[in-house]
Amino acid sequence: MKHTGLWRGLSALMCFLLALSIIAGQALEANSATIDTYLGTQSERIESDGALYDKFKPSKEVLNADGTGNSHALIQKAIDLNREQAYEGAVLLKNENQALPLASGSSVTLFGIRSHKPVLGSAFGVKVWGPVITLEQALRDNRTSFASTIADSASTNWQTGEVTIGLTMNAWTGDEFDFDGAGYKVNPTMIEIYEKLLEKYHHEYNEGAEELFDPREPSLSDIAAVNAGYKGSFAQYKDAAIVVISRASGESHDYLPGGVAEGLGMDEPLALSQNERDAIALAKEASDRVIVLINSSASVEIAELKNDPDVDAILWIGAPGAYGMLGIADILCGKVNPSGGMFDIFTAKNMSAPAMQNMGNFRYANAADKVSRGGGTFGGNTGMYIMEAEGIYVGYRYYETRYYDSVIGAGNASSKTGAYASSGDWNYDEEVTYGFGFGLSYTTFGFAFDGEPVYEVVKNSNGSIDATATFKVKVTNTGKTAGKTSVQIYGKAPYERGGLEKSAIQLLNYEKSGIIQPGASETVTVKVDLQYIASYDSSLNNGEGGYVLDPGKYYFAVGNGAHEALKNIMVKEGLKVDGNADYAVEKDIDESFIARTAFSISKTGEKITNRIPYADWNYFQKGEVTYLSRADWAGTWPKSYTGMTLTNQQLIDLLNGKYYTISTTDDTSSVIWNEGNGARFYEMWGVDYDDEKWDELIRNMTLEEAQYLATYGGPSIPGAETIGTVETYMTENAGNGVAVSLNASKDTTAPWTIAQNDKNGNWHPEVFGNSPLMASSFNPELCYRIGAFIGEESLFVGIPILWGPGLNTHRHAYNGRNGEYYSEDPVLSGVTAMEFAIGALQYGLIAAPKHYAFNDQETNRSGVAPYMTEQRAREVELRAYQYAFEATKYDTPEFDQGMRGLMISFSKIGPVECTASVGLMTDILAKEWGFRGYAVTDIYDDFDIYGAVLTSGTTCFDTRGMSGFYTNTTLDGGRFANQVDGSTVNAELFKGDLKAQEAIKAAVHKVLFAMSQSNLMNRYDATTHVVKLPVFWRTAYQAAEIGFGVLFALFTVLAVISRLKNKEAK
Amino acid sequence: MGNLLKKQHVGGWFLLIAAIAGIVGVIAMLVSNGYSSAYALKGTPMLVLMGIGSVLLCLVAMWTPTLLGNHDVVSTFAILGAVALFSAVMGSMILSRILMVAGLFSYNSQNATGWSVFYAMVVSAAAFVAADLILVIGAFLPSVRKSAAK
Repeated sequence: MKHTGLWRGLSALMCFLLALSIIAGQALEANSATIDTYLGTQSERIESDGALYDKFKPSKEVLNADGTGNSHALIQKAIDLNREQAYEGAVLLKNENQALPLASGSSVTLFGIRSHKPVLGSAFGVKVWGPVITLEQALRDNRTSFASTIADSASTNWQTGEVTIGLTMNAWTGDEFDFDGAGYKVNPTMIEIYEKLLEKYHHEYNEGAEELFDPREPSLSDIAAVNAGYKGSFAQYKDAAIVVISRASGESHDYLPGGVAEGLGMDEPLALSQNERDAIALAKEASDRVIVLINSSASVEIAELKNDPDVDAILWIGAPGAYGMLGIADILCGKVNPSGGMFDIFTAKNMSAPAMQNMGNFRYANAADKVSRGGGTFGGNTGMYIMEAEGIYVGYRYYETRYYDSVIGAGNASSKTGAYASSGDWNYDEEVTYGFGFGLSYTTFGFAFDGEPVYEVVKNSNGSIDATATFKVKVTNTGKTAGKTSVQIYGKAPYERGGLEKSAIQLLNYEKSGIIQPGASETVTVKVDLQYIASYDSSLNNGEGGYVLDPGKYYFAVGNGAHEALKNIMVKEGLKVDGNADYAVEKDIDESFIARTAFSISKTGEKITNRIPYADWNYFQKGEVTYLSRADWAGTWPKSYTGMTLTNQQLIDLLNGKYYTISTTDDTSSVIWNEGNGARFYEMWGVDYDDEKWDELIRNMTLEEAQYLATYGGPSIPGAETIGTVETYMTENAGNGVAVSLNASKDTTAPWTIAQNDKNGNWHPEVFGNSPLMASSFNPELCYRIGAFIGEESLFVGIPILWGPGLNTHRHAYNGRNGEYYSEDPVLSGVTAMEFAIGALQYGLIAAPKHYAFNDQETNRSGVAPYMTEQRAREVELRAYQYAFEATKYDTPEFDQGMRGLMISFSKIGPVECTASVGLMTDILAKEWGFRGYAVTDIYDDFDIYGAVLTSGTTCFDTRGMSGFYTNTTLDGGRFANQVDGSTVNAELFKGDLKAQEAIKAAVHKVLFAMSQSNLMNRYDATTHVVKLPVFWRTAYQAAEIGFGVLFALFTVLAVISRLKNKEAK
Repeated sequence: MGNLLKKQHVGGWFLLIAAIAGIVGVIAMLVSNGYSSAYALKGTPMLVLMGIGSVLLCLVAMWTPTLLGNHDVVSTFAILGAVALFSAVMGSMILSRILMVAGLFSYNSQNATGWSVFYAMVVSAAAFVAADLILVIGAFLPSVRKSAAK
C-alpha cells in the first residue's frame, strides 16, 4: 500500500510536469522566431544544395578580401553616415555676433542636464541601440568609449509608475573607433554635477513623450547642493556656454495640451520650464557666447530665445542618433557649414495651430450605446475620434496662408481669433518663430533663375498627363565660407476667395547643392511635377470629385524656407513686403497649356474620383462640422468638437465593423488553385509583375496556402510547399536601422555572415537619427545613401522587408511619434521616404513605410477615427505616400519604379478602418498610384474583421510572434477567433466567396512579387529547404517531454501493478 | 454526500480542495473571457467542459476509494485525468493569450482591458496550477479512512 501511494503520487507529479513541458514546447515553437531574435539563438536555417547569394551582395567596403563580412568596416560606415546625417540635417536658426563657429581648442562649459544625457533616439519606436558617442565626447575626445557609453532607455511600471532604466545592450566588448572631434576643452565640473544629478532626475538617451510632462531639469539649488563652488569653474571654460534643451519623442504617448506637471513655470510641454530658463541664465553668467542646442523632434517654443540678445546662437539638432553628435560637433567647430532647413514650422505657441483645437481625447457622447465593437486584439478605448477641422491648413500652410491674407487684408486674417502669441491682432511675426524650410549658414547664398523654367506637358497613351516645370537655379556663395545649400522650389496657385481652399504656398520639390566655394556658383536643377500644385475638389463634376488646376496665374519661387519664398512671390505680385521678385517667376496656366482636370487621371491611367467620402463627418451628419476656410479665418476657426453624438445608422454600422459580408454560395470555379503545374517561386527572380508566370505560379498553390500567406504577414511568413517556399523570418522594424543584432542574423548561410564569436557581433544596427533630422537635410542623395546602407545592413542580418520608415505627416507638434515621421510637409516627407526606399532596394531590402495613413496622434491610436475632408486627406496626408509610391523620379520608359512595401495604420479614416478601406487600399493605393507589393496591417490590428481586411487590398496581417505555421500556428488556432460578423476563420472560410478568393490571389501575388524583388532571392533555388536546429531551448523542452513522459508511464504502471499486487495479497 | 465526506481522509480532503480550486479556475477563466470579445478564448465551451470534467474526476477520485479502497486504480486514473485536463485548459488559455501578455509588458502597457483580462487569467492559471499540485499531493496520500474503505 505504501508503495502504491508513492508510485501514484509520482505518476501524478510526472503527469503534471509532462503537461507543463508540452505547454512550454508549444509556446516556444509557436513563437520560435521571436525567441531567436531576443535570445540570439537560431532554431532553424534555410539551406540549399546549390551556390546562392549571387543576386545581392554588400559593397566591397564592408567585406574582407575573401568576401566575408567585416564588422569593423560596417560600424565605421554607420558612424560616418550618421555623422553626415547630423551635420546635413542640423539647422542653424540663429547666429549673432559670429558666435559660431567656435574654433577648435576653445574651452566650453555645458549646461542643462541634457547636455550630459541628450535625447539620441526614442524610448519606443526608433530607439538607438548599443554604444554611442556623447556630446561631451564629440566635443572633447578623439576616440570612442563605447564600453562605457551604452544607450539606455526607460520602461515605466504600468501599475506603480516607477521608472526602470535599462541598457539597450548588456555590454560592449567590441572595437573602439578613432574620430576627429571638435577639439574643445570641456568643463568637467558641470559634467560631474549633472552625472550626480542623474540619480535624482533620471534621463535616458532614448525617451518618449509624456502626457504629464516634466523636463526634469535640475534647479540652480540642486546644482549648488552637489557642488556649491561650481561657478568657480566657469572662468577657465568661458569661451562659450552651450545649453541643451531636449524634448523626446516616442511611440504610444503624446504630449497633451496643458499636460505639464505643476510648479515648473511652464504652461505647455513644449515651452521652456523655469529651470531650463535658469540654466540659460547660468550660461550667460559663464560666458559672453551662449549657444543653445534644441534637441527635439518637435517644435519647441523658443521665441524668447530668438528675441534674447544674450543668446547668440541656436542650433536645432533633432535626436541625432548613436554617433550623430560628431556631426553636431563638426558644425559647432566649423568643420562643416550647416545647410539644413526646418522640417516643421516652429511657432511661438504650439496651441496657435488650428489642429490643436482638436487633439487628444474625444469620445462620442453616445459611444456606450452605439459602438459595440471592441478595441480589437490591440485593446484600447472604443468610440474615440478626432475632428480635423483645420482642413488643409496644417503646419506652415496655415501660418503662411493667413499671413498672405493678413497682408492683403482678406478673410478676417488679422482678427484676434486664433492669435495666441500676438500682442494685438493676429501677427505672423509674433506667432511664428522659425518658418518651415528656414535655415542659416556660416555663409550667404544668392539665387538666380538660370533662364526661364522649362515647362513640359506630355499626354501618355493611358490618358494621363505628365506636366513638369524644370527650374535651373544658379546658386552663388556670396559669403566667405565654403558651404552648401538646399534649393527649395515653392508654388502658389490662384485662389478665388470663397472657392476651393488653397494654401498660399507649398513646397513642390528641392535639391541640394554641392559644396560651393566663396564667390563660386553652381547651377542646381529642380524638376517639379505640376500635379502637386493641383487641388482636390470633392465637388467637381457634380460631386464626383477630382483634381483641378484652375486657370490663372501661378507663381514659383525659390527661398530660404516657405516664408521667404512666399514673400518673394508677393513682391512679384506687386505687394509691399520684404522680398525679392527676382527669386520668383510667374506662369499663366489655362486650358491651352493643360486641361483644368488633367490631373484627374492618375499616372496609371485611373480616373480619380472621391474614394473616401466617408472621411468627412458631414457625409453622414450634414452641417455639423465647419472646416477652416481662408474665406473667413475668424468665422471658421475650429471649435473643439467634444462629445459628438452618433445619429446616422450608416456611420454607426461602419464604426461597428460592418464592412463586408462573406459569401458562401458563389461559383468560384474561375479561380484556379492547386493546378500542379510545377511552377516554383525561385524562378520568379526578375519576373515583371504583369507577367503571366505569376498567375501560373499562384494557380499552383492551394487556397489554404494562399490564405496562410495572406494571413501571416510577418515577421515570420509561411511557406507554400506547392511553389517551393519555406517559412522564413522576413520582416523587422525600423526606420533608423534593422532591429536585429549582427550575431542574431536570420540568414547565417550568407558568405558575409558575422560570426557568433565576432567581437563586434552584438552590434545592433538601429543607430541613425530620427526622421525629422533626415528630412531637414533637404538632401535626397544622402537619404538614398542612408537607405542603401540600411539595405546593406539587411544583408548582414537576413531581413528582406523593413517595417519603416515612418511616412505620416506631422499634423501638429504634440504627436509623440513625430520623431518617427519626417515632416509636416508631404513633398519633403515623400521625397525623403522615396529616396530611402529606392536606396534600400539597391541591396534588396523592401522598405515598407508606415503608417498608411492618418496616424495623427498616438492618443487612442488603436482605432481612433479621424474625420477630415477628402481634399485634406489627399493634399496633405496621402500626398506624402503618393510622392514616394509613384517614385516618378526613378521611372524610365522601360520600367515603372515604385515602392514594394507598406504598413497600414491602426487608425481609421472616418469611421472605416484604414486596413479595411477599399478606397484607401485599392482605389487610391493600387489603382491610382500603381502600388504592387506587400501591404501589412500594424501589429495584431483588426483581427476581428478578417474578411473585410483581406478583401480591401490589404495583403496580410502583422502577426508578430507567430510561427510554426500549419502545425503550431494554424488558421483555426484561435488567433482570429471572435469575428464581428460571427464567421469562423479557417481554410474553408472563403470556399464560397469569389471576391475573397480573388482578393487572396491578388494579395499573394503582391506579397510574392515583393519577396521576389528582395534579397530573400539570395536564398532560393530548386533545393531550398528548412533545417530545424537543436537550440538549447528546443533540446530542453524535448528532453523534458521525453523524460517526464517515460517516468509518467513508468510510475503509472508501477502504481497499477503495486495496487493489483496489493489486492492479490489481501 | 455527508457520508462521503465523513469517510474522507487527508488525501480525500486534498482532492476536494483541488476540485474547489478547479472551480475557481473555471470561473476566473470565464471572467477573463467576459472583458472583451477580442480576448475571448477560442472554444470556450469545450474548455469549460474540460474544466468541469476535471472537477468531476476529482470527485470520482474521492468517491471510488470508499468503494474500492485507497489508491485504487480508478481513482488513480481519475487523478491523472484531472491533472491532464486542468493542465490542458490552463495551457490552452495561456497559449492563446501569450502575445497579448507580451504586448502588455512592452508596447501595449496602456491596454486597460488587456490588463483586466490578464489579472483574471493569472487568477485562473494559478487556481489550475494549485489544483494540479494539490492533486499531486493528494495522490500520495490515502483518500479514505481505513475503517471507511470497503
